[in-house]
Amino acid sequence: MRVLIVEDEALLAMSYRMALDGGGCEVVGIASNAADANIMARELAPDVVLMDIKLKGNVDGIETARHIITRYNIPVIFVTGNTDEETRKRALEVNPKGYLEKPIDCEKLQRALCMDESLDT
Amino acid sequence: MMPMSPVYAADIAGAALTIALSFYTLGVMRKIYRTRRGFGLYTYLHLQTIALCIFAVSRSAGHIIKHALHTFGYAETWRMLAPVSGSINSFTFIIFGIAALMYTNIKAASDEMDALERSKIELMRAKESVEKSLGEKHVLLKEVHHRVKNNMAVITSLLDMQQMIVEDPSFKQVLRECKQRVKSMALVHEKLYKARDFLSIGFKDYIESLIGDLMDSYGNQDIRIRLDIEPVTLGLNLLIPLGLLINEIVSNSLKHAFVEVQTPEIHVSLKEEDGRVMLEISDNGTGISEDNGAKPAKTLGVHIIDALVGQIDGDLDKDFQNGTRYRISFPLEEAEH
Repeated sequence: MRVLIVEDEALLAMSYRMALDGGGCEVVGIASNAADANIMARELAPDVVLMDIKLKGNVDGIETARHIITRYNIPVIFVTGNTDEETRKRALEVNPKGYLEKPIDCEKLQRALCMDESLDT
Repeated sequence: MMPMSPVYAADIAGAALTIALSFYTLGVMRKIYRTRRGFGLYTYLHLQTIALCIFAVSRSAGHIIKHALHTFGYAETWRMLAPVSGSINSFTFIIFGIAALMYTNIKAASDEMDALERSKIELMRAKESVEKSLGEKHVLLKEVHHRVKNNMAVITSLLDMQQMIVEDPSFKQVLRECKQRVKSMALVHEKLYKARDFLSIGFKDYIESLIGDLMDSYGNQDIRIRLDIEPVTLGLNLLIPLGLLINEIVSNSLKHAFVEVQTPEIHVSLKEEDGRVMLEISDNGTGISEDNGAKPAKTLGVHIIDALVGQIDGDLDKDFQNGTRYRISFPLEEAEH
């Protein structure tokens, strides 16, 4: 599984990368803002995007996900600390593959993406 | 033409002096009125001074006309006008006085209405300001919980990375336990972030999420969890230590209690009575029996439990026969400071 990580918190992005690399997935890139995420999604064509909702810059993860899903048809899994109901509703409107709330268990993430276990959304 | 008598001359001089004095009084009154416009009494006195001036002018004018008519030989004409002149003067003075009084009362009532309207507007502005300030505090509090939660997510990720790197299983286990402790605290902020007042949350909801996390972490899917939680709302001061307490006790059960147990079960109950809360956590595991020579070890978990029970001014009762059972009772109000 080829994964693109979109996360503005460097340490979190690093921990996801370690978990996914260790589980046999390939992390194709890490982006911290919407513009980089769009470019990487287009050029690297990952199998799935792991997307934080709060990103650097003015465009949030939900809008970025909407663009990536409609334009490149790449599934998105949200991993977010913005767990209020309004944000969750907005996020689910773009039909993500999953919606995980921080803090997430890296072992669980590894099992879900690299061993294809079901995601608890 | 008759020469003017000294009496008439003195009368005319007196009339002129009356006019001058009344206008001087009016000037003084106007100055006072300008500085104390809001007061009904000054409005009334101001209008009365105007009435006095009109009275003085008309009366003096009457005297001058009277002398002119006498001087130019029209004394008979004056005798006809004299009664009417006095009545006009008196009538003008009375009517003006009544009008002044009425105007003053109406003005006072109108001023009072204006003052009330101003007070109402000021109150509305104060209310808006308080509501705005409250809204800002809510946003700020929500942001604080959000940031605390995110910082704890970073701590968890650091422990996660360390856990992935180390190879020693016992060290991995230590890191998993540390991570779970941080997560039990992060979960409080997660729930508070979603709560309406950002200050307190329902305990049952929190316990369900916490135990769900623990089950995930230890992978014990076959253990039955029985919750018997009364609907109690608790604040941050109690939630953090209680979450850590439950984390320690339930983790211990998940790790050690169910060796060769057919139908493993963990029971958590919480009841409130007379301002005291009774939390009971038990399992139907192997327990610790003196028959097999085992004694409860003084692990970090045990120290944490003792310290946290002390922090919430609670009493702890432990029983390790036929499974393990922890009973913790603590005052509801004590920790809500």
